[in-house]
Amino acid sequence: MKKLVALIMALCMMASLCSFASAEGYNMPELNTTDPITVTFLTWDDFELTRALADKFTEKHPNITIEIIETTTADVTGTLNNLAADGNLPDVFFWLDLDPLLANPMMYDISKYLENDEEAQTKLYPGLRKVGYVDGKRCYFMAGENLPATIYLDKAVFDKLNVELPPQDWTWEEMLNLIETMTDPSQGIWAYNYFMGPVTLGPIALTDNVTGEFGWDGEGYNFGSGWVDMMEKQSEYARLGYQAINGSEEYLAVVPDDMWAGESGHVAMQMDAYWTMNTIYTQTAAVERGLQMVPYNAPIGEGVENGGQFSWLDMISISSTCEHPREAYEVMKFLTWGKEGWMARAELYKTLMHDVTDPVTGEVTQERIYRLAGSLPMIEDEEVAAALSTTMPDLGYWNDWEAFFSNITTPVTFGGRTIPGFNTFIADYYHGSDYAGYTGIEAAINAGAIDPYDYTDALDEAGRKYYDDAMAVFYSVYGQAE
Amino acid sequence: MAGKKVKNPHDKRRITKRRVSEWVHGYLFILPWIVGVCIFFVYAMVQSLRFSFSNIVFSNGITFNPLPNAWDNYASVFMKEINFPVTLANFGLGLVLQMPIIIAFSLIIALMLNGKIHAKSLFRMIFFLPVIIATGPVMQQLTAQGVSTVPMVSANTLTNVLSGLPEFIAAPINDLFSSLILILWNSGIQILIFLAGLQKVPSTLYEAAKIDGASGWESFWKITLPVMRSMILLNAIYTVVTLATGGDNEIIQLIYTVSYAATKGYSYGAAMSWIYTAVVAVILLLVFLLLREKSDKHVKYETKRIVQKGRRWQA
Repeated sequence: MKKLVALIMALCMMASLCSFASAEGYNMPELNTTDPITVTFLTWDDFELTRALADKFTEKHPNITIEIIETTTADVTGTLNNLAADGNLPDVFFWLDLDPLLANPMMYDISKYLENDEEAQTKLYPGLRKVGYVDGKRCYFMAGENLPATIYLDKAVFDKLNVELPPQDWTWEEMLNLIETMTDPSQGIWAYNYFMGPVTLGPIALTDNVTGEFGWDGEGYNFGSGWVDMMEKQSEYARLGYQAINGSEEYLAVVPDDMWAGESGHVAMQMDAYWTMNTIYTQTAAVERGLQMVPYNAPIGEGVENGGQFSWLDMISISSTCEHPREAYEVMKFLTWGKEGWMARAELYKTLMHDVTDPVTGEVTQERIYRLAGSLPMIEDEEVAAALSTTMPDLGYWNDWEAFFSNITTPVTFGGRTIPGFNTFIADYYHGSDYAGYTGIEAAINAGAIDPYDYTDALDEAGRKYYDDAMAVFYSVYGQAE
Repeated sequence: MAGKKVKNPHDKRRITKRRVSEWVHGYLFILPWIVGVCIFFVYAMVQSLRFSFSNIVFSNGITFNPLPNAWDNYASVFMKEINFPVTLANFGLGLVLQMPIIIAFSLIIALMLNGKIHAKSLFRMIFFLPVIIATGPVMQQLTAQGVSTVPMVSANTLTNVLSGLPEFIAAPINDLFSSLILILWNSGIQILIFLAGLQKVPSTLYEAAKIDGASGWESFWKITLPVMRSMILLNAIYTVVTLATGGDNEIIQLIYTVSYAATKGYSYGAAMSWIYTAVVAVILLLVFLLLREKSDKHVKYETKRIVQKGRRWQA
């Protein structure tokens, strides 16, 4: 009798759990087919890794074969148009520019999958759950690759100046303070150099509830928040000599061969990209030259609510012509942001090898293809962070990769990838219009011809108009949400 | 009494077996080119023209949506595209500045390479090498590293010198100096064309001129330059086409940008490219009118006179 009661109680508990799950609303549709199908996947990067991940996926779903179509970033937009014109749009595809996809109905609405995917709704970085909702109601894309802006502080330079490295969860203000205090001409040290500077990173870091460039918050731009201050700061830093400028007389006096400032060992802070750690800072030449670059996230301003960190997010969509969108969603998830895929990826980063021939001895040895993770996760998951940390190199002077990963959770990317009409606004108005005799507002500000504060409202207004125009095209092509 | 009609051997309308055979062989030689042009050029041009008169959408194939007015895309380019006229004017000004430099430089180098110098082939190869290696990504890398600028001319000095001029004049001059090396690097084909022309000038002409007491300078102006006139025209046309279709051409970049804009698109880009094609065609026509052989009438008259003289003699 007791066993029967226990069984009934257990059944009741299971039933209540199921109803609870249902109440949460995660009713992910089952996969549609068990027949053998092929899902085509267009990408431009990490072909060996993508192939290996695709094989892992097929091990799990033997009826689904993934055909990888290779392209390059330079060709992807044209390739997509050509494939679409030919009626061969890939089932899943990476892309670079949002606008051409708004004018041509190539993307499939994945809202019903994303909203019912528990992993997406609980683990995906909050900003990335919403990034693909073009009209706020329908989701047409997701982030497929995350390459965050990374700020490298040279520990060797900091030691030389007897300055302590800041904590990994530093703030925008701390960063600016370092820029303003670390220059020491007597030792040939500049505070900073940039690839993506304060003007790009600042408006994202200093605007509340930001979702895009220039303080875009989903409704409009906020040029008055961050951009205007950072325009002035960036010009000022160059003028006051805080920035190492390749080719300048001051720089050539210290570095006669005009080596790239970020690699010269004369710069305390290099505002750059995550991949520079792989392409330069872990390479033998940089290590032998004594560079000790510690990676930091792009910091957020103090007191800013839901500020963002600039990142190169490569977006991915399922095509409107895809015959098996449910299966394509699983493929997309596994090959880009899903936990299972990331655990497989962490393993593959360590195990994928290629032959390397010694140029002197001719000896062939096996080396890892990926010296460190090619891109970074898009989900908050300790297991993934821990697994990925084991793939990263121990730099000797620093090895706190988990701290780095835990501080890059609010990526915000280029406007052209998330904001309708952004590219046209930038080309025609921001860089293309006449400002006091100068073409482009940045040229006019840098020449001291205009005061940026006078233009913030006009920029907000113009930007919104370009957005509205692009959205009108979007609605005419994709229709209104039901 | 009318005499027997004599067949003029110089009559181009006369069809002989030999002539037919020459035509067949000639067309066979250029057949691959004709096929290539039809497939990759004519078809694409016709498609582009169709695009420009409709609103096309890509998805599962191409959908041609009719426009309220067939010329809407063309009208929009002139009414909406604020950067287009300015970019077009900059291109024209750049062309006026760059073309004479390329032609003069090519001719000078060709004259030098045609002279009696040691290791002539090596020098010819050196001047042609950039045409082969400095394309696409290589050229982009070289440009990014400042190879295209003249080391002795600093950007700041140039900006100061040009500061008195209006921006629309100063900008192309600045561009010219900042890409001077690049322009000269693009002269490889023109040098070859000139060289081929120079090698066809009969040496007897120079010998006769020398006997008559002409200096090298006079021979250049009285013999070389007139003989090379058709080559100059050919090179000028080649240069205009190269500059108008180069990857770093601002208008092509603009067409590319608008083609991928949500509010403009491929059809709009196609219309813009046809307007650009028309402008380039006008430039080519002007170049042709300016540099064409003006002695055609004289040659025709002389030919006619000789033929008539021959007929009289036969009669």
